Amino acid sequence: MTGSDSLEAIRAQFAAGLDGRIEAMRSSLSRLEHAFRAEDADALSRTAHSLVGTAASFGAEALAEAARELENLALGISVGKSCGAEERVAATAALARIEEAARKYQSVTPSTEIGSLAARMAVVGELTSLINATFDLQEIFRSAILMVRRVLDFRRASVVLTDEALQNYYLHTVYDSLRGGFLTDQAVFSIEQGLTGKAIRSGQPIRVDSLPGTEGILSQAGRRVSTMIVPLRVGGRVMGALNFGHEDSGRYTAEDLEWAVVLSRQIETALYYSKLLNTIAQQREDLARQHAAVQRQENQLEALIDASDAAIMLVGRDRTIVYANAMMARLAGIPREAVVGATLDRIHHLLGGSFVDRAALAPQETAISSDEPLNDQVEIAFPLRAVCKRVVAPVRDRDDSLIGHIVLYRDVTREVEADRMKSEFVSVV
Amino acid sequence: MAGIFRALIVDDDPDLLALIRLTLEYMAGWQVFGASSAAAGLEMARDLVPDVVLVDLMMPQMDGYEFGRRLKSDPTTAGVPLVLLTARTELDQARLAEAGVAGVIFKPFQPERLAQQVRELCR
Repeated sequence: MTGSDSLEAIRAQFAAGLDGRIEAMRSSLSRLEHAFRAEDADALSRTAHSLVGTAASFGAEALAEAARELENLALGISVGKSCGAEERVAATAALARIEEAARKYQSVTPSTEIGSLAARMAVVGELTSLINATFDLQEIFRSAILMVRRVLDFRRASVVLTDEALQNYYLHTVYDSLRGGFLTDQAVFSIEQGLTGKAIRSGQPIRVDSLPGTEGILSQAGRRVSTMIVPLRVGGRVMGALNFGHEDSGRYTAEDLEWAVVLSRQIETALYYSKLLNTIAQQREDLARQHAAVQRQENQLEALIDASDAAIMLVGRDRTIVYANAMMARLAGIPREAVVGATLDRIHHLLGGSFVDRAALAPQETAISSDEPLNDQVEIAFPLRAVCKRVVAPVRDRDDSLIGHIVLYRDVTREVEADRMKSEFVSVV
Repeated sequence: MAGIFRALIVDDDPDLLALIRLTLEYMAGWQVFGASSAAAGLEMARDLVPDVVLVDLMMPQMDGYEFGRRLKSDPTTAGVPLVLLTARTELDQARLAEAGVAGVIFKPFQPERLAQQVRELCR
């Protein structure tokens, strides 16, 4: 397919889509005729404005001019917050001019042979590049539907996705050319219902040439319509379906269905990557939650240590001080900030000066080096004379691997004094 | 694919999006990505960090000015040149400046000149 062929295809697509644009403007105007609503005036001016720029770029000058006229009228209605008789007449006339210009443009624009194999393969290729560049599922589905419009005739196309329990399916993306393009309809159906449910349950594509039209199916009550439904799978499981509908019967061939299946394989890739990304995002959230939990535990532990009247420090495996409370800093005689991160040798050197007998430090050094627990008493002379119970214990992880040591000094001077007095009392008695 | 000029087009009009995409792919040999809404365009700009972003001024939910402001406030995309596409002739100069727009191309554009115009504006 050459660039020239593609340009003709896009031009034909624009020409074919003019009916949808006109219908959308007519609907907005019709609602405004009944009552002024800002969103209707806004929709009218936006649709007309969009047509101005696009029509002119496609060389449809007369169409662009008529659309500009309607855009200006819609802007006036929007600003004036009313749609009086005069405005209605002018807007209706402008819309008629748009319609006339559209018919002229359509009559001189050759309709390309829709659905050639080359054109369809080009769409599949474009879709692959789109999937590689886009991570937003909505955007992928919308762009895919617009691309498909170039090679498959349909009035309505939709993507439905199933819920986790595979009980229901819901509308994800819906396009209706006669209702102005993409719709925001939301609906949930049981997978026991309808042809779509049947395709999801069986996992097989379905093509129906002559389906009775209803209000829900292309709004063609009383007529026969055509539809194709292709289930979408991810990891071997049906996750949803791709639907195309035409308001005439017998519109889709076996080749159309085969191609729709090829297309659905591309969309499954999109679903897979989207799922993959969601999984990664989920894992990242889980990690963040775990990190927050660990952080909370650390904070609780630090609060407990800080609240204690004992001097406590945690020594890491690399023999640096991981944490120390204010009491330990007082014992070492340096600010707490200087204790945390300092080497054990430095802290031992300082602590040695606090002991009545510097040699009392040796068992502590041995306990830490040999990973053996130590539980004894030492006398200190700084910051005040006291007898302290000393505990050195290895700290192990859940899998029993050593993560460091805890060193604790608790002032037991009063208990020791009480014991001494009790002993003296007993010996006197 | 190093060396290929990469453009991101953000336009809610599917026909115009297709026309610009085709024009730049076939006539200029660029790699073109399309987004049909400003929100999706911002997301894609962050992922792709293209050589240029062309954005339609009039879009629902978020217009081209706001798109530009957000594009430029994100450190990842702040350096990406932004070209505004519009059929309007009256522009808000203050908002243009705030959006960090490299230039404006008025619709209708000339397909054969579009790539060259964009390149000139990005210099």
